[in-house]
Amino acid sequence: MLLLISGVIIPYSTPISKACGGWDDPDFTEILMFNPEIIDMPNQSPFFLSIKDYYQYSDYERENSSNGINNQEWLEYTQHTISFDTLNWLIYKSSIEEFKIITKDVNENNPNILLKHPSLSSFIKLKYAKEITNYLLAAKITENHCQSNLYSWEPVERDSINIYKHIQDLLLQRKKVKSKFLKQRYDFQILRSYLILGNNQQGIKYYQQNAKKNKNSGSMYYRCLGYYAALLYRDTRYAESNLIYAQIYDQYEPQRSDAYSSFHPLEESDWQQTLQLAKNKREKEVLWQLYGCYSNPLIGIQEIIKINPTSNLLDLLLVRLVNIAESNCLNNYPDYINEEYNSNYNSSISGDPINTWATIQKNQLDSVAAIIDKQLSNPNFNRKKVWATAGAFINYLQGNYASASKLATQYDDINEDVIHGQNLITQLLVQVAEAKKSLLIDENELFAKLDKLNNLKSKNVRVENCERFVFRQLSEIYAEKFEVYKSVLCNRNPNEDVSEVQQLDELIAFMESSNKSNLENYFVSTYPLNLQQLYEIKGIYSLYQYEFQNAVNYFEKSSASTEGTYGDPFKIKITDCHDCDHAESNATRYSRLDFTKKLIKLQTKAKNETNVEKKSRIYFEYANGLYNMSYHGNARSLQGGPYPFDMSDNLGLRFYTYENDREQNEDSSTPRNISLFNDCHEAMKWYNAAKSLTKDVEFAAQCAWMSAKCEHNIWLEEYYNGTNDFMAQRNFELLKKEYHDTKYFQQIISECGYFCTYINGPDKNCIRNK
Amino acid sequence: MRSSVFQLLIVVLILSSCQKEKEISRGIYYWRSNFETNSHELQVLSKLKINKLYLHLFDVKMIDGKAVPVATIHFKSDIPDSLHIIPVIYITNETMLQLQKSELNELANKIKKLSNKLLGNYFLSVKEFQFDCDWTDKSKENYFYFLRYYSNLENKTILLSATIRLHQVKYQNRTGIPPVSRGMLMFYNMGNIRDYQSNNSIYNSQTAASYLTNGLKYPIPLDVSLAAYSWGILYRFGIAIELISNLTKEELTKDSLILTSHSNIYKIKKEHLFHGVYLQADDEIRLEAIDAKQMQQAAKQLSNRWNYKKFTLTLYHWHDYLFNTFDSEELEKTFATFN
Repeated sequence: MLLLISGVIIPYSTPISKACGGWDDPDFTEILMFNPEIIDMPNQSPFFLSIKDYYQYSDYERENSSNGINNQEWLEYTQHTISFDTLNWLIYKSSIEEFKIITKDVNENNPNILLKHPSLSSFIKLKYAKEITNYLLAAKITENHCQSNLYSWEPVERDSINIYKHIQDLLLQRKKVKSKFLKQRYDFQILRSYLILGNNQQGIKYYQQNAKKNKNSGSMYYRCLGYYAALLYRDTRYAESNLIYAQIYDQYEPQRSDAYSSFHPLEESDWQQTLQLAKNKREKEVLWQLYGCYSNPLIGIQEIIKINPTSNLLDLLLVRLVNIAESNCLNNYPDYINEEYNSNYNSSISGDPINTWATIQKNQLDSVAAIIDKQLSNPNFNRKKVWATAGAFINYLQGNYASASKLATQYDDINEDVIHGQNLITQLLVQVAEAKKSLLIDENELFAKLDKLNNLKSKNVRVENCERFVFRQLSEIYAEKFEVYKSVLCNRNPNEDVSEVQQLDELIAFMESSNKSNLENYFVSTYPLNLQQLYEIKGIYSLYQYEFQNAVNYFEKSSASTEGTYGDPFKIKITDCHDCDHAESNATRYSRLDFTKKLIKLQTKAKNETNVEKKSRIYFEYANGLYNMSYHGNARSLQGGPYPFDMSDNLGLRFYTYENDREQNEDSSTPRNISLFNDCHEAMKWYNAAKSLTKDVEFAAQCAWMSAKCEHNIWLEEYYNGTNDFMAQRNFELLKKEYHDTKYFQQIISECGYFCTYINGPDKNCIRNK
Repeated sequence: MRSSVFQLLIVVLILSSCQKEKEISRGIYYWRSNFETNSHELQVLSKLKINKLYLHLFDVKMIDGKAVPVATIHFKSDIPDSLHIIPVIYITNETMLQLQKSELNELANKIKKLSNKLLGNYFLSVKEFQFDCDWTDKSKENYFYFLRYYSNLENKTILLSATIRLHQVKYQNRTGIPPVSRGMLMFYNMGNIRDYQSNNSIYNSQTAASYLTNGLKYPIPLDVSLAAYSWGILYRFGIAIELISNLTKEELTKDSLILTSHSNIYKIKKEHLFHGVYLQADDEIRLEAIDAKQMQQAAKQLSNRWNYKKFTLTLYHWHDYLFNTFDSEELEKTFATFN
C-alpha cells in the first residue's frame, strides 16, 4: 500500500536488487564511456558501479568460489580417497534421504554400500569415515533448517523446537569427534543454527568460547566469522558487526562479496564506533573504502588519503566516483531505451537504498580534480597511469578540455589497451566538445581517432558507448552547420530520419553519391539503414501514394524486398477474415514487387479493355488489391519492412488501430486525418467505377457491398470514438433500396451481423453480432 | 386538529423509518512483516472498538522475470480473537503488466495457497480478502481478469475487495471498475513524492478537494482508509532519492547535524549516516506526517461527500507512530465524524 515495497534487512544476504526488473536492464557497461576496468584489479571488479548486485559477477561464480575451497579442504582431509565429483555429490548434491542410507550403511559396516556407491570403496576404509558421514548428515539437516524462504511460494516453516534439539545434537556430536577439522565444521553448523533459531546471544557466546579459536582453520574461520557478524548485527551490535564484515571483505576472497553487501552501518554513532574499533591503519582504510562504496566515494577517498596516500584501496573508489559523475553529468542511454523505460530506469536508480548514485555532481568535480593532481604529484604514488586516465575524463566532464587532453596523453600507455582506449575516448570527446563550441570539425582527424578506436573494439574498450555519444554530438553540430545529411546520419534515429519524404530522398541521394570522404563513408557504413533498405522504404511510400511505377523502380533496386502477402490480395470476401485468407493453401501469394506489378498490369488491362462487363471485373479486381493492401485488408503486411524499426508515423504510413486512437472526450464532430496506410478512398473509387459499368445486378450488389465496407472503414478512421462501432452509411441504404432482391443481398445478411441487424432491426436473430 | 397532528406523526414516522441507519465498522491495517502486538496497542484498539484487521500477508513483485512473494508476514504474536482478519496482498502494477493470462491463473493459485498456509487456522474465520494494486488503464485488463479468476477460486462465502486510489475514482472511465464486491478508498497518497515543491504528498486538503468536487460516485460500495503515518523524503539537488519510513519530528530534531529549515523541511548540515541512509551536506528532508488535526480535517472533508451507509472506516496503519502520536480520544473523534 505504501509506495515502496516493504523490506527487511537480512545481514549476510543478497542485497535488494537495484534494477526495476521484468526486463533486462542495461548495466552501465552499455551506457557509460568510462571503463572502470582500467584499474585491472580483478578482486575489486565485482564492486564497480553496477545496477545489478555486482558488476559482471554471477551467483554461480560466487558460489563456486566458496564451495570450491571447501571441496579442496575436504579432498585433503579425506586424503584424496574419493574423487572430486563424488565428494561434490556427497556434500552438495545428495539428498538427506540418500545420505541417511549411506550413513546407516557406513555405521553398520554394510558391505552392500559398495554395490550402490562403488566410488566410496577407498573412503569407507578411512578410520574416521563414520565421523565424516555423521557430520555430513548433520550438516544436511542444518541446511534444511536454514533453507531460505526469500521469494518462496512454499516457505518452510521454522520448527524452533526441532532446531533447538538439532543444536543439542550438534553440540553432542562435536564433543564426541576427535578431529579438529570436523569440530570446526560443527562450530559452523551450530552458529548457523543459532542464527536461524534467533538465539543471537547464545550464538555470540558460542562463537567467543569456541569458533573464535579456529584461527588457522582455512575457510571455516571466515565462514564462522561471517555468522558471528550476522549474530552481532541481529543483536543490534552494529559497530562490531560492520567491522567484522570489513575484515572478511579485506581478508577472505570467497566471502568478499557477501561481506560487502552485509556491511550496513545505520547511524553515524555506529559508524564512528566502528572506526574506533579498527585496530590498525589497514582496517581503517578498508572501512573507509566500504563507506565510500556505501555512501560517498569522494569522502572515502579523502579519508583514505589521510591515512595512506598510496593505498591500493583508493582506486576502486576513484573509478566508482568517475562512473557516478558520468552518469549524473551526461545522458548516453542506448537507442533502444525509450522515454518510458528511461524514466523507469532513472527512478529505479534513485530508489536505490544505498543512495550513492546521487552523490557526485558536476559542481563537486573541482575537488576531485585537485585530489587527482595531488596524487599525480606524489613521487611515491605508483598508479599514475590509472589516476591520470581518470583525471582526464573528470577534466572533460568539467569542461577543462586543455587539462583533459594533457592528462590523456601525458601518462598514456599504448601497450595497455584499456587505458590507451580510455584516453583515446577522452581525446575524441574533447575534440567533439571543442568543435561544438567553434563549429569547426577537422574531419580527417576525427576519422583517424574513430578508426583507431575501432581497432580497440575487441580490447574491452567502450567504443560503442563512445561512438553513440559522439555521433549524437556531431549530429547537433552538423545541424547547426546546416549539413543536413551528415546530421541525419549521425542522428542514427531512422524513425525520425525518414519521417519526411524529402529527407528520405536526400538521404538516398547522399548514400548514392560516389565522392564521399572517409568520415562520410564511416557515417554511412554505421547508419542503422543501408541504401537497399532506404530504397525499400521509398518503394513502400510510393506504393501507398499509388505511384506504382515509381514503387516498382525502387523495389527492383532493393535486394531487401522480401516481404509479401500471406494470402491472395486480389480476392475478397463478404466479411474480412485475414487468418482464413492466409490459411488458404492454394492462394496466390505475391512479393511486394510482384504485387505492385500486378496493379500496373490491371491498370493497363482495364485501359485497353473495350468490353464494359470485363472492364468492370478488372476494376473490381484492382480495387480488391487496393483494399487488401490497406490496414483493413489481408495484405497489410506489405507495409511492414525489413528495417530494424517499426514504421509508426513514418511518411504518413501510420500503422495503428483506430480503436485506441481517439480519446473518449475528443470532439467527435471533426474528422481525423486518415493515414495513407489506413485509407480506403482509392479502393472505394474503383469499386464504384466497377459498379457503374456493370449491368449484372448481382455483381453490382457485390460492388456496392465493397463500397459500403470502404465507406464504413473511412467512418471508423474519421469518427469512431470507442463506443458505438457501427454507423450506417450511404451505401448501406443503397443496398437496402436497390439490391434487396439479389441473392448476394441475402448472402450478406446471412454472413454479416451488422448488416443483418441494420436491415432487420435489433430484435431479429442475426447469426453473428458482427 | 387532532387528526392532522396524528397524520403528521405518521408521516414523520414513515420518513424516519425510510432513513436507513448508518452501520460503520472500524478497522486498522497491519502492514509490517513481523506481526507483534503489545498490551497497550491492544487496549487502544479495544477502547476504540476496532474489530477488523486488514492484515498484509505479503507483496507480489517481479524478480528476475518471475512473480514472487516479498516481505512475507511472520507471526510473533497471536492475533486477538476480537479482530476479524481481512488478508491483504499487495501486487505491483508491473506484475500485472508483465504476466500473461495463464500466468495470472497460476499466480492466483499460488497466492491462495500461500495465504492459507500463512494464516493456518485463522483462515477459517476469513470472510473478506483484499487485493491492493495501483493498477492503470494499461494493466486493468490483466488485473480485472486476475480478480475474476481469484474470485472463482474462493469459496462464495468470502467477499473479494480491492483498494481504490483517488485517481482511480477520478478517472474511473479510463481505469475501469474492478470486479470485486467492495472497494477500499485510500484517502491519502494524494501528491507526488518526487515533487520538490509539494508540501505534503500524503494528505493535502486542496488536492483532496479537487478529487471531491463532483462528489464520490463509484459503482461499487466503498470503505475508506485514513492515513496515520509519517515518512521523510530525502532530496538531493532537488531530486527525491530516498524515502525514510515512519520518520518523526523528534528523531530529526534530536540529530544535531540536521537543522530545521522551515515548517516541515529539514536541512542537512554535514554528511552523516541516519537510519541507514547517507545524508550529504545541503540535502533536504521533507517530513510528511499526519497529525490528529490533519486526520480530523481529512475525515471531515470526506464525510461531507460520503453517501455510504454501511461501510468500514480504517486507519493506515498499525505502527508506533499511530499509538505515540494520537490519543484514543482524538481517534474516537475522527471515527465519530462519519456518524
